[in-house]
Amino acid sequence: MTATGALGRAAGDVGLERPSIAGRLLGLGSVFGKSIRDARRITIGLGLLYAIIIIVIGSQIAAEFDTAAKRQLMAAQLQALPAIFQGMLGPAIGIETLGGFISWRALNFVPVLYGVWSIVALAGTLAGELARGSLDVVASTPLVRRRLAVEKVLAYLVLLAITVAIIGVAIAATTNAFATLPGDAVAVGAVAAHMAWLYLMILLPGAAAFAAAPFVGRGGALGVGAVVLFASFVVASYADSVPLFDAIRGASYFELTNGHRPMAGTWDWPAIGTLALVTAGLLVAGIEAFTRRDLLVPSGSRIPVPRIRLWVRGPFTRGLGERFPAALVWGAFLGLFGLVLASSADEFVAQLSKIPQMVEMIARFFPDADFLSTAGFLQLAFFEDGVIIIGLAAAAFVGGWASDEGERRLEVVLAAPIGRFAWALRSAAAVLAAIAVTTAVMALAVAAGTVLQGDDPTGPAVGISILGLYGMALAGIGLAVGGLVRPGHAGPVTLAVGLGSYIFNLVGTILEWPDAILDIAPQRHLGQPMLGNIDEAGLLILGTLAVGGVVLCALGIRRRDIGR
Amino acid sequence: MPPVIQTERLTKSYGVHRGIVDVDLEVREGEIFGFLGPNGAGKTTTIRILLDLIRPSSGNARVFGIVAADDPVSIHRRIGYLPGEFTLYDRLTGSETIEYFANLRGGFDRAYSGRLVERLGLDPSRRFREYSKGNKQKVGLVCALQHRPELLILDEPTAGLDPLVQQTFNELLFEARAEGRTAFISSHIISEVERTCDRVAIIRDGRIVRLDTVEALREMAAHEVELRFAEPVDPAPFEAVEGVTNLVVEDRTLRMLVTGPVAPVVRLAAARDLVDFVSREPSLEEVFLAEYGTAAGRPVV
Repeated sequence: MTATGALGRAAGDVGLERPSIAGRLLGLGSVFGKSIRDARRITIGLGLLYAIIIIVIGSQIAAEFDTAAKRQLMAAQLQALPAIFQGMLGPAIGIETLGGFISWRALNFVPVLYGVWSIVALAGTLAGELARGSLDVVASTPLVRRRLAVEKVLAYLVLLAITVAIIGVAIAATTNAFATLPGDAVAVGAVAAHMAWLYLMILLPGAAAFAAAPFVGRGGALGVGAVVLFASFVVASYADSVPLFDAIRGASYFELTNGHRPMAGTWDWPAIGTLALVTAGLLVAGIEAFTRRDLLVPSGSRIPVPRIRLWVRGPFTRGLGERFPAALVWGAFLGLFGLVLASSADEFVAQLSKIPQMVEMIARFFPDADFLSTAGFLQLAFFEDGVIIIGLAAAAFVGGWASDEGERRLEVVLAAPIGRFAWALRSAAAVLAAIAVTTAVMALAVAAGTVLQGDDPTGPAVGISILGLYGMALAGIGLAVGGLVRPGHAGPVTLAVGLGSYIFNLVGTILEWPDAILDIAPQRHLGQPMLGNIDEAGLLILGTLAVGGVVLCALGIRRRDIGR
Repeated sequence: MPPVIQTERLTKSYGVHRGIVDVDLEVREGEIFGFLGPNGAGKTTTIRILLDLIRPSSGNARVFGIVAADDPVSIHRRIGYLPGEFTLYDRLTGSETIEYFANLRGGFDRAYSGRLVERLGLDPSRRFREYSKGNKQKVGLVCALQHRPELLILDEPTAGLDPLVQQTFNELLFEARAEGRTAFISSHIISEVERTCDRVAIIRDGRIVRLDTVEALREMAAHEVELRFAEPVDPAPFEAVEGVTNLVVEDRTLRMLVTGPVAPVVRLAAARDLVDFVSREPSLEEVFLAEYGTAAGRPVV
């Protein structure tokens, strides 16, 4: 009896359909093809989303600043801002040209936004399938394990290339179509070189997550990727203002590539080469680790929390217990960032005080606030990053809540004598409680940093609380969607509202949209809480979103089918 | 002819937790081999080592004479595998799932796959997430069987299947054996193993405690023997026979458990005025339960 005996017919026998080339590339013909097929919509969607943003920004800027004098004035004003105000956008290079301005205002933040996608995709591409159990079946086919991993990675590399290519085409079209001044048109080569930077910047944190996944599982890998992305980004953004960050700025890949902005006329291929090498090294390490290690879901990557009976008393405590370790990690991560910033406030105030014009300008924006304080510094430097990160934390908690239904645990729970409404109310409240835990840890750290500076910690602590309330409002929106529509939508909607609100506000501010439109973004209703400027109406809206979301969630779950 | 599966002192530990210890197995070509054990005994660990999904702490595993960790792809090319617990792709339909796994094996025999789908009574047009447990199991079975592998490795293959489909599955298994193929089936459903398997290994706490044909294992277990005589007899000679236990005298009837050959007891009985002789062969379940000591709280043979 051999493989090609009576039963084991060799491939190529009559009746055996081999997968077509098209199927192998975009379909069920291979692991690569299926991966491309599964993610094609999000890939094109993300490309088109930013392409539209770029076209809108490019056209508006060209129309608004249509003379060389206007451009020079705008560039001079923006470049005069101290680093703390340029913050997340990085150094303003060549912004008097259309390409330079788009690069600075629209592209510098893309590695953060789309880096999250990269982390989620690459952390889960193998580890997620392993946790689900389908990887065992795939790995029992005649595919070398290394090839399986390579096909998965290759698929993501192609998908990301498509997204970046769509953005690149939009940039080339925009800069040429709306070029009004000399230097506005950007050569295709410069756009391509800029896209090479963008591609690698988005990819690197995902590659770090991919390399970590065989050792720490999907959840741990998400954490590793997030730390690499945000730590690197924050260090580079505030290195000029925070001595500690300045000391370690060399370790940031954002800092490494700050000199490569081909659309603004500056090139740094050695930095891009280094970035490419590091990224390739991480991907190869991940592939090799996957190839050599047992196909087991790693355990022990969670923070050990006391095994107390509290966690199993009911839906609220179970939900909180499930998310408690992650809540501590998010709080510690954000808190550490706040602590470092708070401890550096004196240096910043000293620098700023040397520029009276700047003090005068800021005073016009914050007439009643003492921004030359730790609280003021935190408002400027911490809060804007904080709203993004608390949104990510909220999305993670809401996604965890939704998994109870998605992974069919809920059916078992609801077989117990507990009503759907009661379960939904308590389990959704546990999500808000988890955000409260994150907020409390963060507030403690920031307050400690403020006290170290000899300042009153009350303002920062109140500010952090409002940040927490914002996270709860985002979670409320996601929970409402999860309850009313489908659990699978809950986490993504929370993430989309958090990031979408940020992008909406960013683009709207650049384009000087009316306040009535900009105010749709929830983050516009936070006031400047670190400085004591509380937006009471905004707080009411946020509170309503949080509590109302939980109630809507419970109402939805009471009415609809479970397990959709 | 080399065994299809051969393990030597195969051991796997998960840190401080036991996996399997010194597992020696030999599965011959063309047989249906049952791997019996309760939950957590080490069945799935053994299977995952055979497939090189995990690697042994010591010892070695060969499939088709190939060390599993050395060339797993050559092994995978010739096997069909159904995991004990799995979730495939929620968004794919049953037919898409089946086609995908066929493609990963080099091609899709639509006609044969269609026949399997028909025989198992699967509606392939629904999305995987919409299937019941039994229908998910059917999809997994089609994926494992559709390329007509030389060796089937099936972990709890009938879990969730209704009796009619179980019957169809058994037919497929017997057809495979008739064609000279081999099957390695892990299960804790003893009646199923008894019905389908040629040989059985029983694993307990990570170690193989019995390995033989179903008949031989039955032989090794105690027979329930009842002897009815024309007049009361002295039980002492029967008690003295090796392997006789639990002897009970009721008027002119002797009841006992006999482990091993029954012939000495039969000879003793024949020398007396024997009226009736009843010997009940133990089931595999009784063999299995004997290995584990109790059944529903009572001692078993």
